Formats: sequence, C-alpha cells, structure tokens
Amino acid sequence: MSARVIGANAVFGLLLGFSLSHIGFGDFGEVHRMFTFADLRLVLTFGGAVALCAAGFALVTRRWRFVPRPAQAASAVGGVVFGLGWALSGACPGIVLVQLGEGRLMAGLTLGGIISGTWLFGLAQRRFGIGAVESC
Amino acid sequence: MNLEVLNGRWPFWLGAVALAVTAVGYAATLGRLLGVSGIYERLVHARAELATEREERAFLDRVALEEALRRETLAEMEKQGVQVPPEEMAAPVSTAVAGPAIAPRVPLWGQLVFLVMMFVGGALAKALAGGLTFQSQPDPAHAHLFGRAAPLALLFGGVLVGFGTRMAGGCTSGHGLSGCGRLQPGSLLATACFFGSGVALSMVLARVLA
Repeated sequence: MSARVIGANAVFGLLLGFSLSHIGFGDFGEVHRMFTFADLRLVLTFGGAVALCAAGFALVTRRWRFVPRPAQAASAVGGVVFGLGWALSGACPGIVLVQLGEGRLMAGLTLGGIISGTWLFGLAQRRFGIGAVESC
Repeated sequence: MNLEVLNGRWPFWLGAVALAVTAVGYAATLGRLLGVSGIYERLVHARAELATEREERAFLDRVALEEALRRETLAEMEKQGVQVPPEEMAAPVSTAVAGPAIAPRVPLWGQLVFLVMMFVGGALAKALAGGLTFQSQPDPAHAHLFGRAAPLALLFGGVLVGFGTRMAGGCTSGHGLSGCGRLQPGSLLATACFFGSGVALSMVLARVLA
C-alpha cells in the first residue's frame, strides 16, 4: 500500500477531526441548537460546506469518475432513521470519534451503538434484502 | 500569541471551508469519495473485505491481465487447429477508455488510519485549546434533556445511526458532503431526510423534555 494513500488518509482525517471539534459538532448542545434552529451557525456551516463542495466537485469530476447515487426508498427511510439517532445521541459516525478524542468518555456508548447498528443492518440486509443499492 | 483559530469556536465560513477542503481534497487526491459510515461497514466485515482485497490485487494490472488472456486464447486456438486471424490477435487490445478514470479503492488499512486520525484531530484541537481533560459524566446539555436516561439515549441513538446510515448507503460525509456536492438525487434525498428527522425529533424533545 502506497505511502501516498496512507499519508492522504492521515492528513485529511486529522483535518476533519480537528475542524469538527472547532466547529463544535462534538458538543451535544451545539447540535441540539442546530436542529432546533436556536443557533444558525452550524446550519450555515453545513450548508456553506455543501455549496463549496458543489463548486469543488465540478472541477474534480473532470478527472475522476464516481459512483452515481440514485434516489431510492432506502435512501429516505435510512436517512430518517439516521436523523433520529443523531438527534438522540448528538453524533454521526465521524463525530463520535471526535467526541472520544475530546475526552468525552460517554461517547464510547454511542460508538458501541453505531458499530452494533452497522452489524445489525448487515444482518437485516442479508436476511431481508433491504438497503440502498451500491455499485462499485 | 493568541490564535483565535486554535482557541474558540470557528465562524461558519471557516468551518464550511474546512469541511469542503476535506471532502473535495480527499476526492481530488485519491479519486475516491470520503464516506465515514462506509468505513465502519468495511471494518465490521473486515475479514471478508481483506479477502476481497487480496483477490482484487491479483487483477489490478489490467495490461498484464489482458496479455495473459490473449496468450491463453492463442494457445487454445492453436491446439484446436484454428487459423488465427492475425489482425485480431497479433497485438494486445487496449480496452482503456478516454475520459474520467475510476480510481482503485482505498485499502482497509488506509481507511482505519483515517478514523484514528479523526480521533487524534479531536484530541489535538482540545489540547491546543486549553488542555485535554476526560469527562466521564454525560454532556450537561444532554443530561438536561434526558436525565437518567442519557446513557440509554446515547446507546440507542448510536444503534439508529449505524443502522440508518448503512440502510441509506451514507452519512453526513458520504451523502451530505460528497453526494450533495455532486448533486446526486439519492444523496440530496437522504440528506433532506436525516436533517428533517433530526429537526423534527429535536423540536419534540425540546418541547416535551426541557
């Protein structure tokens, strides 16, 4: 495995963890104020990031081809389930790692939950064939 | 020297730039999209993923693969006494297509490094901002809302996050940034749904519990 791939993952992982912490995404109060629109800073942060991504990806996709993501029932249902979990725990799969790094030991429960949920979905997918179709 | 960037909360524009630089920079450097929940899935099924990676490695060299297939075909035709059409089989045929390319997947170990460094990033931010301390108590705002049920809310919420993100095929990074940034219908739908349900439940919780 090339040093370039490892290096890029290390640099961007560090940048994302550091940024999320300073944005305040690891703080349940901040996330709750975002979801109740009591404070618009995080709403604007996320919205602004999506807008900048749209501009940036227009350049990147000239060189690389990525998987298409068609709208499916599973995208909507899975999204709703994820949103409920985020509102309850204050974490998404990336943020929980930042919370642990910040020394919030209770986030260990959230991480355990996320790993269990991921495993449970794999089980449900094999048994019932649910989930968004992903092509490589 | 007092560096505001290292101490307090960032203004919205700085956070937006940092998140976009991460998602776009990752895709531009590696040709693969950033998606954290997908890494969880690969790690949960690590044994199968590593076996797949070993198989894929054997087929990575496309030119060598095509050359080997060509030789095998020629040998088989010769054995059966078939006249080989020279213009067909004389030179290796390249199936490479012009235009944007598909980059190889990031190996599982590389993705594990990404997750570990996210953890380190959180610790570094806290350490530079005034000291890393461990808090074994629930977050005050979380405890204010859920009381003694706070640990249960974290655990159960986590299960919903893990299940939901994998059902939707992405989370805040994969759908929210990488997918919405490319204006993909499935990602726009999933993002609207997770943000919408987060808003709805939080509004209810604030009304009922606070």
